[in-house]
Amino acid sequence: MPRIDAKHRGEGQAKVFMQRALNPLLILIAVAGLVATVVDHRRQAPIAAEYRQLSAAMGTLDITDPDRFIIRRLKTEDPFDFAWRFYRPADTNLMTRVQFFSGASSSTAGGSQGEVLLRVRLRFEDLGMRVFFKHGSGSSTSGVGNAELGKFVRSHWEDLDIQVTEVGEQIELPLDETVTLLRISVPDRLLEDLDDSVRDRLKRYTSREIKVVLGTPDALAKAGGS
Amino acid sequence: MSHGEETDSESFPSPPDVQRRRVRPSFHLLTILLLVAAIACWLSFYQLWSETQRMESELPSLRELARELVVSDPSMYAVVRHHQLWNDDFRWRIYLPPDGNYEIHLATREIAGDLPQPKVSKPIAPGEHELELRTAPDGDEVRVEVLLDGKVHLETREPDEWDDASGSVGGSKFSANRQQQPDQPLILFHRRFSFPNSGNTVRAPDGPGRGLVLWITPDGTPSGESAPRD
Repeated sequence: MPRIDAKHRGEGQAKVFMQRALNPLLILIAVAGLVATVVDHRRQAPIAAEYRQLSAAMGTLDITDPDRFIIRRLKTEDPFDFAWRFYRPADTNLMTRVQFFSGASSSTAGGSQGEVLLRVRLRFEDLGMRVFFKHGSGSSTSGVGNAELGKFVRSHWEDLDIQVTEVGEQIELPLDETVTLLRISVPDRLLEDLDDSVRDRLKRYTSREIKVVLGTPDALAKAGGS
Repeated sequence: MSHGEETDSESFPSPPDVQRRRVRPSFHLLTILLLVAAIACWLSFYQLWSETQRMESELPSLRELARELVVSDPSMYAVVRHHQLWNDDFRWRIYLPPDGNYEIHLATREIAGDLPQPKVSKPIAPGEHELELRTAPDGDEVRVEVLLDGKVHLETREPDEWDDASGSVGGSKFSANRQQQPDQPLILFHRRFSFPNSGNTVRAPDGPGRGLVLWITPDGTPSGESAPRD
């Protein structure tokens, strides 16, 4: 009987001791967590400010699948300027085909994975219009030396058929598919507004559109665009 | 005696009861609240830390894409080229360390591998600046301008045949953000014009030729051909 009593008393003391030790320990852990949170919050403030500022300008790209092309269109001030953030998987060749009415050009970029900025910009000049395409470190310019056509496209910009991805919309592309980033075409109904000479010339063109298509060389070849 | 035995058995728990009590610890409400508080604090820390890590890992590529000027070492030059909006669009944001005087130079002829003699030079103050190199036809001439913070800082003219648009080699030396020691010339642009070869081909001149070079040197150092290239 005395043996059990001592044990019971010992348990009670241990319990009290634990209770006394546990509460301060938990307070210590909670305070440490609070301090760590406050310190990290202060450290994060400038990083978050810069991140917010840059991502407001450049958008964010969620690399959900690093084995796919990922594209997101950015907001631009100029209506004749289109820009996209573009992610390319490692060791993947990216081919771009720019169709500018009857003319077309292709370029291929390879190398390590990473993000680049793609840009398509139109410029209207006294002698016609030109398109500038920039992809990473490479660029190309194509043009049509027809002043009337340039004036027509500019003055009827709102009436042209313009297909382009929405600003902020993210597109994920398997490597065996192609994507049309931008397609601007002159609808038949507008041709009547043109001078006869320009209309006849436009009708002779094999294509009446400006189109930018991306994909791997294999995918573009399969799609008949290489 | 038997009563005593009964009392003993009621007063003191049997060994299985003791074991059951051992495995069922009781906590005060305060302890439970403290435990919840501790877990909440560390969970918020973990969330914040993960978010910070994610942003930190994305920032370098965002800076590269946004072409932001980043000056990690204030004693070095820093340069970033703005996004090219056209094939003749050459704009940079530069940083020149505060404890120095600098000159900006423009050359249009006698351009080879080394730095040529400048055609025009002017001082440029330390600090951050916007620079732009522009060429535009102007009557029978080509006007070459360097804009510093939006105002023409250097200007020269060349005859129309100076650039016959046959082609060129070289261009901007920088695209993404870079830093460079200030004891070397900061060569922003180096381009040599090609000239028509036989047939429809063009080739770069064997010796010094026409072109465009834009660079910055510390004031008082040789800015001509004796200056080393980066």
